[in-house]
Amino acid sequence: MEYLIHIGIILGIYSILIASAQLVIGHARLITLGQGAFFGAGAYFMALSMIHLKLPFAAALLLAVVGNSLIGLLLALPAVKLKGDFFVLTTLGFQFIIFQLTYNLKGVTGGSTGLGNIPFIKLPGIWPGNESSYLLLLTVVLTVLVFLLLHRLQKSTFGRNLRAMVDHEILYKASGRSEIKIKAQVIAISAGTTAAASALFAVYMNFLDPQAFNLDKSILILTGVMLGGLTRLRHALIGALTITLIPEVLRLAGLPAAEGASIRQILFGLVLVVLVFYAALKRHNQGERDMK
Amino acid sequence: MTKNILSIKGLSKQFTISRKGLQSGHANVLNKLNLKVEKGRISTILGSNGAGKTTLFNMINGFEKTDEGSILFSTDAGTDTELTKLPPHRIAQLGVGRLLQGMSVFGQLTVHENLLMAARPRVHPFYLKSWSKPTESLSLLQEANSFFNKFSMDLQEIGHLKAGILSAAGQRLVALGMLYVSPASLLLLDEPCSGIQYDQLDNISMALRHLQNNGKTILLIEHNLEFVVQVSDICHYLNGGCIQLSGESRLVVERYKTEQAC
Repeated sequence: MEYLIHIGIILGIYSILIASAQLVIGHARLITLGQGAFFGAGAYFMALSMIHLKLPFAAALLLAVVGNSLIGLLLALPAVKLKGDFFVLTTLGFQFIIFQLTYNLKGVTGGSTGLGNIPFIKLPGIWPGNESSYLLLLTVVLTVLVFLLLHRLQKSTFGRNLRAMVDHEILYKASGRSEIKIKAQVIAISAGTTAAASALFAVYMNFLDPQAFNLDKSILILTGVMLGGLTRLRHALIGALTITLIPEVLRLAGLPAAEGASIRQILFGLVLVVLVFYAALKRHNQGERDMK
Repeated sequence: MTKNILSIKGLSKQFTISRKGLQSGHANVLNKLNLKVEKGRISTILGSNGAGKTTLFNMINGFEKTDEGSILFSTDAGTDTELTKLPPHRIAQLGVGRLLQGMSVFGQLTVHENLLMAARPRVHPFYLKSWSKPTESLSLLQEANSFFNKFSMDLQEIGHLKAGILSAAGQRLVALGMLYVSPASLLLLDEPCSGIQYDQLDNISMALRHLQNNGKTILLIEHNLEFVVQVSDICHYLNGGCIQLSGESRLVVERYKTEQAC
């Protein structure tokens, strides 16, 4: 039972991460390698405000969301004016900056020894179960909330504008809208919703290590988005499910943890290569069909 | 006295030609160009390929930076605004609309959404408002309908189709319809007839007249001289980076034909 709860919480965290990344990668068509850094920044916001400011979970979460959105705007300011590869490289640089900050600001984040003793949520007196089952409930609630918000966003005028911007950027500008503004908004919103996953992660792990938020995490999130699908929210769930379950399957297959981790990396790499080939093939076929 | 909606003074643009990263020369596309556009008229810019017609449009729209010179735009409120330092979306908000060469609709959006994008129920003081459901305002629909009915297009039928699947002529009419419902007062139309079948040209000229009657000022780039003589009041001949000749369409077109033949 504890095991299933563990899987459920991890699945929720990845669902939020991937759905948030989907907004940037799929809807705004901005390939980003910085989502792991946002995940980390949110987690440190969360942990530090709970440890030092003694804030309750909800207040700390609010602070993490706002803080992350501001950091998102900070990244967006230089990044959104760039296109294609240059944008990707900027997000990569951002990922390294955040990692180095968390790794080297030993006084604040604990550096490589990590940051421990993150207080758990106060359980309400009437809750019959234990701590982890309460966290699972919270995970479900937060995941649903984030998905509802993102769904609403897609259906709103904002979502329509985003589709139009991706479709025809010059015409979008000519119709009196700033493409820089909407891209910055997308990055900030995505960073904000990512903080929900950070909050759950920080409280669940009770310990933060900068290595959990390095480039590997960003690539894993990117893989998850590619795996599931670029635009549909339920596809984000598929991506999250695959990412959560592959290591568990490897474990059940009897592989030792160290080898399992390497094989997992190989598998994800392979999946990414296959997906890119498949996408290229599909585009090629589409092109041939258009010619006929 | 008629008022000028646009007055351009001493506009210059130089492109640097670089080969393998080395600067190997400059091309003076526009050289101290002066142009005045009268409010409420349809004017055309004539010129051979590469004369700088689209570059001029791009500079008015803010897509290209200006080297020197000024572009004064007179807004509906009557204030003159300098456009050269503004970003494209600000210029569009002031009331300069644009028909892009080729595809000028959002192909992945429905016709209806395209019209909503153009109509811009604009600038909410509270940003949160634009999170609400797309409002399909009734007055917008009626306005658009009055335009499309002229070409026996039924918005009820095509409104829910993706604009990308319409024919070239259909897309062009939708693009013009977008400008019709947009708050823009000056429209820059870059080759409205390119890629359109001959029998559809009457529809395009009718659409332009309709836009004019609705109080829009139109500046046109067009290679189809018959069409130009038919719809345009005034012509400007752009050659060597500045306007060589301005005047009544028929006269300027005659002169242009002679020069091209030489």
